[in-house]
Amino acid sequence: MSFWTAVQSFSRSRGLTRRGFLLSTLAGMVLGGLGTLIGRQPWWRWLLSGQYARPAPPAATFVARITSYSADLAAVIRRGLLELGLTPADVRGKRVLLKPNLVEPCRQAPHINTHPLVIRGAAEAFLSWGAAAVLVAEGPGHRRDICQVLEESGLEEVLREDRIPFIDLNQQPARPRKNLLGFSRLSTFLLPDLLQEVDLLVSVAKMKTHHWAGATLAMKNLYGLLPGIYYGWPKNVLHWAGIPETIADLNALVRPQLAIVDGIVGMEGDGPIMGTPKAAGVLVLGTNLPAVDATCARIMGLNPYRLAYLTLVAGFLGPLGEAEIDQRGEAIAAVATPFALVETIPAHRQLRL
Amino acid sequence: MVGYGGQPEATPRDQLLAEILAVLAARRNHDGGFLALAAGGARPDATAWAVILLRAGELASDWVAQGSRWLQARQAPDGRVSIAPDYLPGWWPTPLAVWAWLGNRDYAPAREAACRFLLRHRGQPVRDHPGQIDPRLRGWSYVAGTFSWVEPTALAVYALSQAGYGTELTVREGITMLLDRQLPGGGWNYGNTIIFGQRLRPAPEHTGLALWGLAGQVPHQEVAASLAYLEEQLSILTTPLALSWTVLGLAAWRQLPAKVIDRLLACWQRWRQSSLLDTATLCLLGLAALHGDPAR
Repeated sequence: MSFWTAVQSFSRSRGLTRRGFLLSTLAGMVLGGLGTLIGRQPWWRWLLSGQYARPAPPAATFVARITSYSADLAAVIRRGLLELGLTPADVRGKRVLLKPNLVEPCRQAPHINTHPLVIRGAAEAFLSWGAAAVLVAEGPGHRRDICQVLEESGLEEVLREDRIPFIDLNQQPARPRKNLLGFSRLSTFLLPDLLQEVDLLVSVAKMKTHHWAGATLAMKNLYGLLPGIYYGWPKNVLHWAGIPETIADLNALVRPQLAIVDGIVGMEGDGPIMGTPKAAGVLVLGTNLPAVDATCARIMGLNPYRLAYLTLVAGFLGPLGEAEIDQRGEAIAAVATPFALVETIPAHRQLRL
Repeated sequence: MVGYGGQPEATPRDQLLAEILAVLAARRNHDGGFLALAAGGARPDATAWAVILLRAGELASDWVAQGSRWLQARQAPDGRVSIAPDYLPGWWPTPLAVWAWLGNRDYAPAREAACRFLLRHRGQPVRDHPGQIDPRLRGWSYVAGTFSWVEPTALAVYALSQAGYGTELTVREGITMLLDRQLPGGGWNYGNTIIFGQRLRPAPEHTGLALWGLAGQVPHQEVAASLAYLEEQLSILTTPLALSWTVLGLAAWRQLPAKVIDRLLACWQRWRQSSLLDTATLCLLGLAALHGDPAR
C-alpha cells in the first residue's frame, strides 16, 4: 500500500477529506516541532523543573580586604555572613559541608589550592554559630592519592589539629540526578549520597584563572563534588560534555547556599595549576554563586560576560550586572587588581574587562 | 606459604600482611565482595584488588574463590566489569577483573570475555589538543566515550599482556600511548605532559603504575628518567598509595633497594586508622610488601 493510499484510507475512516487530513497533519507537525525546540531550551526545562519556585538567593556579595592568612579569618567570615543577612539562627544545628579546591596540590605551590587557614576560619565561624557539624569534602581531579593531597596542601595538619572530618568524594557512592537545565548532553549527574545529609553546602574556592574555562571560582569548584569512580581522573566526562555547559548544569542542580572565594593569594597566568601567585588580598563571600563569580571576575579585571559558563546562567541562576548585585564591604574598584592572562590561551582572549 | 600471622618470629612483611588481612576481613561481605571503604557497599575494583593481593600472597584461598565468583556475577554480557551495575559506561574496573582472574581456569571464559571487551573498546581519540601529546593514540579510558588516560591504559596493557594478548595491535598502541604521555624529564601524571607550553608535574602513583604496566615491554633507556624520579620519591613519600605504586614500579624494573619493608610498615602505622584508607590502597600496600621484601 502506498503512503497516499494509506492516508486516504485513514482519512475516510475518520470522516476527513484529504485536504483536511493534510492540513491537520501539517499543523500537528509544526506545533510538535515548536514544542520540541522549546522543550530543548534550558530556560524552559528550568521552568518545568519547578526550580524557579525556590526563592532565588539574594544577589549580595561581601568583599573583605585581607593581606595575610594570619588574619582572624573566622571573624572576617562571621562579619561577611552578617553583611549577607545571615545570622547564627541560620547556621545553628545545621550540618555544614565545606568544599575546597584541592585539584593538584604541590608543597612548593600553595597558591594552587584553597588555603588551609581559610578552611580553618570557615569551620571555626560555623561552629561558633552553633553548627551541628562541619566536615570538609573534596574529590581532587588529578591525583589518586588523597592522603598525599591533604599532606601536600597543608590541610592535613589543620584537619588533625581542629579535629575536622574529611571525606574523599572521589570514593563516595552516588545516585543519578536528572540534569535540570540541559545545556550539556548529560542526562544526569551522579551526585554523592552524602549531599542528602548536608544542610549547608559551602563552595570554598580559590580565585584563579583557568586555561579552559577562563576562570575557576565558586561555580567551577563544584566539579570536585562528582566522584572520580564515575567520572575519572581527570573528570573527563565533564570535559567531553562541555566545560561551560556542565558548570552551568551542575550549579543549577546542586545550588550551594554559600560561597567563599580565597583571593588572598590567588593564581594568575596559566591557571589552574601552572600559573603564578597573585596577591589579590581579598576574601569574597556570597549566597548567589553567579553573583559571587561575577564579582570575583571584576576584581580580577575580567569581564564576567565573557566567561561562557556565567553567560549561560545569567538572568535565571543569578545576576552578573554590577547594578544588580548588592555589593557589601570593600568596593570592587578599591580592590580590583588585573590578573595576568596568557594571549596564546584561547579561553583568555577578549576576557579583559 | 605466608601465614595469617601469629607465627613465632613473624617477619615484618608477615606482620604487615596479617594486619592488612584483618582489615580486609572486616570489609568482606558474606557474598564474597569487598567494600571499597570501611562502610558502604562492595565494589568491583575493591573486590578485584583483594583477589589480586590474596592470590599473589597465596592467602585465604576461599576468599579468592568467592571474590572471583562475585566479580563474575557482575560481569556484563559483553564482558565488561563496570564500577556499578547501573552505570555501564564506567568500565575501568575491567582490566582489574582480568588481573584477578589470571591463572584461574575456572574463570577462563570470564577472563577471555573481559579481554575481548577491552580489545574492542578503547579511549576516544581527538583531532586537536593543545598539549604536546599525540591525541590520536588510543589507550583506555575510565568511562566510555572519553579520552585515554594513564591509569586505565597501564592496567589494560598489563592485564591483557599477562592474559596472552601482548602482541595485539591495540596493546602495542597502548604501550606507545603510555610512552607518549611520559613527561620529558621523567614520570607520569594522570596523562598530560606539556599544555600551553608548560611542563606539568609528575605524580608518583601514576608513575609507578605506568612503569608496572611497561615492565618487560620497552627497553630500560625509554623509562630511565622515570625510574630515577621514582627512586628520588621513594626516600620522601609517606602516604600509602603513592608509596605502594613507587615500590611496585621500581620492583617491576628490579630497581628496588633493600629495607623497603620498613618504609611500608612505618607508612602503615601512620595511616592504618585513617578512614581515607580505601581497600584498593590497602591491597596495594600488601602487594608492595610482597614485592618489596628482599627475602623473596
